[in-house]
Amino acid sequence: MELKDLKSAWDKFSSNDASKHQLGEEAIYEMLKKRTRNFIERIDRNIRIGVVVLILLALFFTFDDVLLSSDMSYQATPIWIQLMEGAGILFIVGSFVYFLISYRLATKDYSHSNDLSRVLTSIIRILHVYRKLFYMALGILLLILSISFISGMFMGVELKADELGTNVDALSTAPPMIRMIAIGVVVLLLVISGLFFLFRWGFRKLYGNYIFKLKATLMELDEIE
Amino acid sequence: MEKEFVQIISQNQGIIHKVCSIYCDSEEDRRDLFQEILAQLWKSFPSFRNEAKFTTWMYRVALNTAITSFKKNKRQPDKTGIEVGNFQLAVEEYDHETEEQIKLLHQAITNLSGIEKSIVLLYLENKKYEEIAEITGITQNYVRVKMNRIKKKLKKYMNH
Repeated sequence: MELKDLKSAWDKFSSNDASKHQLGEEAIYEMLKKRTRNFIERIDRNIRIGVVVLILLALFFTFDDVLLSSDMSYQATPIWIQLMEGAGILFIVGSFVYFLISYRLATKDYSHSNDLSRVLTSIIRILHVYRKLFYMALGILLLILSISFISGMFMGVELKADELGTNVDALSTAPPMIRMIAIGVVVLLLVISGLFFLFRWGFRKLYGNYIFKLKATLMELDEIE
Repeated sequence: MEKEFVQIISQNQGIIHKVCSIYCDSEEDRRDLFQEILAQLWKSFPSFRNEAKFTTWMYRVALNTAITSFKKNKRQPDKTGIEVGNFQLAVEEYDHETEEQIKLLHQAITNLSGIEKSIVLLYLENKKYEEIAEITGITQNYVRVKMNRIKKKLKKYMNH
């Protein structure tokens, strides 16, 4: 069979197929009305939700730090915990500003009327920003978890010291307490790494192949040009 | 604007059907892609300027959508067989010789990459290299080189 035969086969097939799937104007109206969000619109929605969650986390973190934790402290919170919490808030606010700028830049040029190379580059950029948002949100979650855990442990030692009528330094260097702190740190590390790898696996499973496919297509385009 | 859009799409919907038949392996995928292309055309319609022909612009948006479409981890169709997909549904309606040709065409196209499918579709639609380049936004030189490779690939599949 020659290539010209392919053309004649295609002509026969495509005209028959198009007439078989032909839609009236009403059906096209209906389809437009019922259209669901496409992939990029869903990403856009997820990013907006992500940013709102970041703001809520930042507010919660500040509220917890300024109002709740200060009332509950037996003694003044050590400066290193205050610094750690302050850095946590700065990190969240910084991430928030960074995402807004990155996302704005990534979506500025996105349109399916552009040439293929620009469409692919835009989608890859949007997905990279989305991935960054995902990892940053995960990082913030794990950071909050760690800070809360460390603060909680410190409070626990403080409470125990108060109960026994001794000071924190003396108690925290006692062998049973060192063992407990070590176990706590190991559990914390296990939980954090477990959560990190679980979320990373989930993200890769959802978008990994798609990002790979887009990059491969872009590479194919760059092959000759 | 919506009325104008629907009318013009209705008149040129054959383009979307052709793109869907090249890129989809099942009726379900085909419906999803048709809807996605329609939504993208509607979204991009305000930015359409009469610098290009409407059909050129429509091909561009439809092909870009098909190449970059995101499929969730659905069951992957059997790409080596011809028992699935729109082509299989259609072949029953032709004489034996045409049926064989359509099966071959399907097998050959299934093995091409997303970009190759878009070039081969425009080639089958008798578009000149210049127009293929305009639709895909790649250079004529690239189209020529790519088309030569595709022809070799197609011949290889057909002679198997």
